[in-house]
Amino acid sequence: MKKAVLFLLILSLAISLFACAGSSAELTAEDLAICIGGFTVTVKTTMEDVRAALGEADDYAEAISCVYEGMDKTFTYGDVTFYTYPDGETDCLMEVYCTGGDVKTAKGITFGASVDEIEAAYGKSYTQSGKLLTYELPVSGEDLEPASLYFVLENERVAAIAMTAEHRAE
Amino acid sequence: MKKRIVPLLIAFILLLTACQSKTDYLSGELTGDPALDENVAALLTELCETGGDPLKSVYDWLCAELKYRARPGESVAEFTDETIISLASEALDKRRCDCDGEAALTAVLLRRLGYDAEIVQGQFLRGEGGEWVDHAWVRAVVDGADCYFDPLYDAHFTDGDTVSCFKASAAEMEATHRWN
Repeated sequence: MKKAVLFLLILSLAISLFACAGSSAELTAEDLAICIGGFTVTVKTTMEDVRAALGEADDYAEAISCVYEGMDKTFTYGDVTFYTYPDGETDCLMEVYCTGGDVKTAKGITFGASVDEIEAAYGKSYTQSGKLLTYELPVSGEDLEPASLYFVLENERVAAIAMTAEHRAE
Repeated sequence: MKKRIVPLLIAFILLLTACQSKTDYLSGELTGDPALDENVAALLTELCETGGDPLKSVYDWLCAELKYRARPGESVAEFTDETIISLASEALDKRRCDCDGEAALTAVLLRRLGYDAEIVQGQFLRGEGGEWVDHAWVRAVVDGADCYFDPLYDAHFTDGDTVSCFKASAAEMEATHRWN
């Protein structure tokens, strides 16, 4: 009887450990990168990098920010939109949002991928809220929004791919 | 016979009351957009079925879940039904929006909860010592009184767990908001 109990205890411990190991692979900033037509956008990419690689945007808009001091700006290149927020004189990259085109994440996820394929590439340490499936990195300080990679799902398939850089919450 | 019927009747009434209270929070106005109405119903069911004040649950969700992001294109001159549906759908799907999107979704959720809600366009004081900038928020009639809701303000400019723009009176709002 004792042996059976001991065996069951060891078995459950082993299963727990395996389960934890499967979901604990921590993501790095490089994992969040998105490759857009050969140009890799990372959480460190600046708008100067974007302009140098992609040229002038097809469409541009700006508006006084509700949250930051200065202008929020959007730069659209076909199906890809870059969102910036003002930090002094600099337009900092807040987010890149892709709905089509030659776009692939650092781990090979592209439009039409399934949740299983995302999990196989990035693990299960994501949060799901509505149609969004989000992987976040820990923030490096207070009052910061985390860097993240998120997927918008339509019928359980990736319809949009986006990455946010770490940025001020206000 | 009577002894059997009375408990059954009481049980039936209790069941009816329970069902009624569970769907009360979906008794309000629909937008007319099937996809948005379905998503709103699913969200409100998730937020309200555990009990508590549905208004507060919805407001807390708006503050916590919606991330600020500018929107390409012109700012909204007038909130028509079509504009509200478009902005609210985008905010709900992407969990990202500017103040127009946040106000639109807030109005849609409050209307579905059964409140008479409309979007207010004006200006607000962005941060302490900041400047007045164009903004949008929501006014709703709650228990017969005009109340104001601005989840974007509370998400970004209020410290800690304190909220200042939840069911706020006009007098309370005027310190940081101005409108016609």
